Amino acid sequence: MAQVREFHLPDHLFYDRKEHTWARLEEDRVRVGLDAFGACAAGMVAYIKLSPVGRRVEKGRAFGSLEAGKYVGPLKAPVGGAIVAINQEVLTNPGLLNVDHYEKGWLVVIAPANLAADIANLAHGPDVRPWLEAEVAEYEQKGMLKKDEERQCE
Amino acid sequence: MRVRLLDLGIVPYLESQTIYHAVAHAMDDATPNTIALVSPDRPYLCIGYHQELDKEIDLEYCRSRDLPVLRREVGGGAVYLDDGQLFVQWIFHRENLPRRVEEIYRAFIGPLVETYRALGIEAHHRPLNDILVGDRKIGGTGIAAIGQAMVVVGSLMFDFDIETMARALRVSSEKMRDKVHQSLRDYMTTIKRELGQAPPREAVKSILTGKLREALEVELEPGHLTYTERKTVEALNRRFQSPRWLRRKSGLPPQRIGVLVRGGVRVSEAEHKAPGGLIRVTARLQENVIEDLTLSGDFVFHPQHLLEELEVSLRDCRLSGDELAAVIDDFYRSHQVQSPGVSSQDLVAALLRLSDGV
Repeated sequence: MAQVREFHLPDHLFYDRKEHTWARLEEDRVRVGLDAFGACAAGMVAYIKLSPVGRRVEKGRAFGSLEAGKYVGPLKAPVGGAIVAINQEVLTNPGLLNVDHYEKGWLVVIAPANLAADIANLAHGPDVRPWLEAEVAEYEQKGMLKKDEERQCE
Repeated sequence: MRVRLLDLGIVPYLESQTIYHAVAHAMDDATPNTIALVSPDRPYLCIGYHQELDKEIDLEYCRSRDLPVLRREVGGGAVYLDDGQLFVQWIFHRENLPRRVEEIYRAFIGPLVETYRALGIEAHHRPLNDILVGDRKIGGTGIAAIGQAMVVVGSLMFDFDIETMARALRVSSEKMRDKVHQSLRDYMTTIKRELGQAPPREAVKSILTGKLREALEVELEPGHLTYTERKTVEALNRRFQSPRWLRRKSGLPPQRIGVLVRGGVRVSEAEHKAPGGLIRVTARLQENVIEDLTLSGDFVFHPQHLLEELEVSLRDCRLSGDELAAVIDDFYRSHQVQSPGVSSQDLVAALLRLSDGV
């Protein structure tokens, strides 16, 4: 488990370093969600739209979008493949994305097309903590994250 | 950091949306951060990325008034736009803006607030994304991640046509429309309303660009669209007018938030079917407290003239079952109200539906 400030990222998951999506390998499937850092950055999520089951998505391309506080942004796939399940619960209760990032707040399950290549550049295991520390430090240094005493995402 | 300024003046209404989208879609590593200042050459309606056209806009009215409707890639609700507003659009590389949406709004809204203040209007930022004068909103803002860019849009509000805005929205009843109209009057303001008249546009732009320079600590470099951006505008002009784009489905339920007048203030309508008839409640809520309420429907309420008194009694009540029940029960007892087939609990149930999805 990597814990930096209020952000905890389980190190058994795989993370897209730019988009802050996570991928969990489940036999021949990959469950996908948004990590704690990404959810905090967006703020309280009001609406999520996901591509339907059966739709093929390429790594790095949008499989849906979210809206939070009049912010709209794409949800980009950490691995490519076919969407085989979407989380209906998070569609009706988008706030799950903010409060239970890694369990009830999952987004889609993908049957990967090229898993080994797609996960090769994702942060995983011992890579997670240094990446997260560097990410947080960069944003703190640029004044892009509130200081410790003003945290709002815990 | 470089910032290009596109001071484009009055542009075709379609391009008042497609230009900033195009700069974002065409952005590559060599594209400078860009601030565009534009106003549309004619009025139009603009719906949010996740909204559904038919559910938000009274299309028949818009057709009768020759008011076009566009969909943007930015979130939020349907808005009426015209040349009374100076659109301020930031198209920045994501890494040049804060990571958190809340902090992006702070960076964007600061120079707008300072501009209003320089004009003698005591504006302030009300997080998340409102600019207020007192408790009245003066312009809205929104953000979208598009391609490599983070886009932030807002406006300086010189004047605003409340009547057309209230008329063009699709609402569930005329009572609801009346409340929306009144709420916009009560909770919106403009430069003209605050100062009696709007100062010259160019003078305000000059103040704004000065405030932007101070806030961003950079010179703004006057510029123009590149060839690639211009071609992207043309492509987006076609896409933004296509029925497929405009009528795309989203599933965002329109009644989930009612009509948001400003952050924390909302007009909503709800119904409850009681054995004695349909109860319809139309209310303006501030932070889930009833500010104004109309009760209607086809149920019997005797004496009829007391219905209005009950509406007044429920003002300032929070949407909580216990609080509402206490007020309504007390009202029924003290006024010996009779409403066959409609219990106080039915009225509570109708009122609680106003909070659905909050």
